[in-house]
Amino acid sequence: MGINKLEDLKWHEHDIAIPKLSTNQAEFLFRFYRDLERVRIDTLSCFGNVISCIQRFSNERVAVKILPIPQDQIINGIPSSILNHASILKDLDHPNIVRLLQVVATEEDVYLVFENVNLNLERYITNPMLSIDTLERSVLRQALSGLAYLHSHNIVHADIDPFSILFKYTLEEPPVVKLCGIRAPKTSTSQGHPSYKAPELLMGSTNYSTAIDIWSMGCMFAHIIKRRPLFNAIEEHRVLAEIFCLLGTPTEETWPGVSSICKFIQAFNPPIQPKDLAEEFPTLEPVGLDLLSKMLCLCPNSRISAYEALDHPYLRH
Amino acid sequence: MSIQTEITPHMRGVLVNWLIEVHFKYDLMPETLYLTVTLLDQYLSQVTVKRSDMQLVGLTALLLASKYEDFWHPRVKDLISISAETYTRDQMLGMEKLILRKLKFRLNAPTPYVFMVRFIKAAQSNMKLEHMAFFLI
Repeated sequence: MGINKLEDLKWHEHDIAIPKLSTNQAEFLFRFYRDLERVRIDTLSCFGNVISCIQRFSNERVAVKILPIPQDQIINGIPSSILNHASILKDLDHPNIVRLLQVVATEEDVYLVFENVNLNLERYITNPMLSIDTLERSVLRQALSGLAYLHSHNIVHADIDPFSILFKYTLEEPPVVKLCGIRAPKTSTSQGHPSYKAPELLMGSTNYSTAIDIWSMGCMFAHIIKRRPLFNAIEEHRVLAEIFCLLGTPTEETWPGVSSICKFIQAFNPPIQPKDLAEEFPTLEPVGLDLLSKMLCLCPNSRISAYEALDHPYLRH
Repeated sequence: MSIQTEITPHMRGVLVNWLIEVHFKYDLMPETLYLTVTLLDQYLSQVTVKRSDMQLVGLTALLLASKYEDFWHPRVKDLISISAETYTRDQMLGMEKLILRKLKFRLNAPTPYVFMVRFIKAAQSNMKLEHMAFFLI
């Protein structure tokens, strides 16, 4: 449902479906865009309040994210966090990363104009009309190549979850995967969905290495194969318990240094034995299982890198 | 500099010298200074600037560079007072947005400094060579 006039928008302010816009914000948006429509506010981490609009001149659909400048910082102009965020995103140019098309700054807000992307992974998997049987490899390959690009720019995503993996989908062409929700490196604290969080983060490590993104990608891979999340818990300690049940508990031999991150790990004596992944994923061929086990390797230093994963036999053909 | 009608390369030199002093006064990181000059040059290569606005462009470039690169940035109020209240806050915030628009929000430009740091490390140089190298760039 689109709206075309400012009056309509005011009327809709009572409607929870549309994020509240101030008069200035609404006027600004109407000058350049028409047909405002809320995309989603229900995503947990990345996109937050995103308004989908049609550009007046090109007729192209875009997604606008509004970053308000905090009241106490207005006197000093645009805050450095927003500046960092915008200029890093602006420099990224890869087919599997959501493009930041334009940044516009006004007195009170900064508007980030992204290319519009239709679906997130969660909705893609649960939609019975869209078959992804043949697309598992393609989806994983695209997501990993976007990630490899980020890692080559020394950026750790840190927030990969079912809502930050988006699909650009048209009936004619195969879907294109787009990663979104990339934040500035200085502000990285993971708030992502706990079910995609790497074990070292769940155990309280604050070392954000590129390996945490690979773990999340492994969870995504498993999610696509199983059509439901690999780990279901919402509380972090329960996710960790689920991980240990599936993959066993780490020891100093399998993960050097683990006991310094996590004191209680030695209490698991003897350690829990890992389950057979082939039983958990009966539909996945052995070469796929091999890649999955390398992505879901408990020790971050032995986990496969994005580049190595792209070169794995499962994805090479 | 070919598009500039009112300002000359010499004036850019004077401005940069003054910006180095301001940069020193606020004790900012060396990366910030090089980024300031890069941003200034990029802007001057695209926009014809009036003589009276030159200092404003320089100060705003310093503000943007320190916001982007440094742990800390000088307040707009302080930058205005350092220019002897020539400009107002609104002018500086307006200039900030104008520069960002012209540079399309891309502030992570490579500067000579980062390359020199790498070369010096590779050359395993001593302090004397290091100071010499930074003086030259």
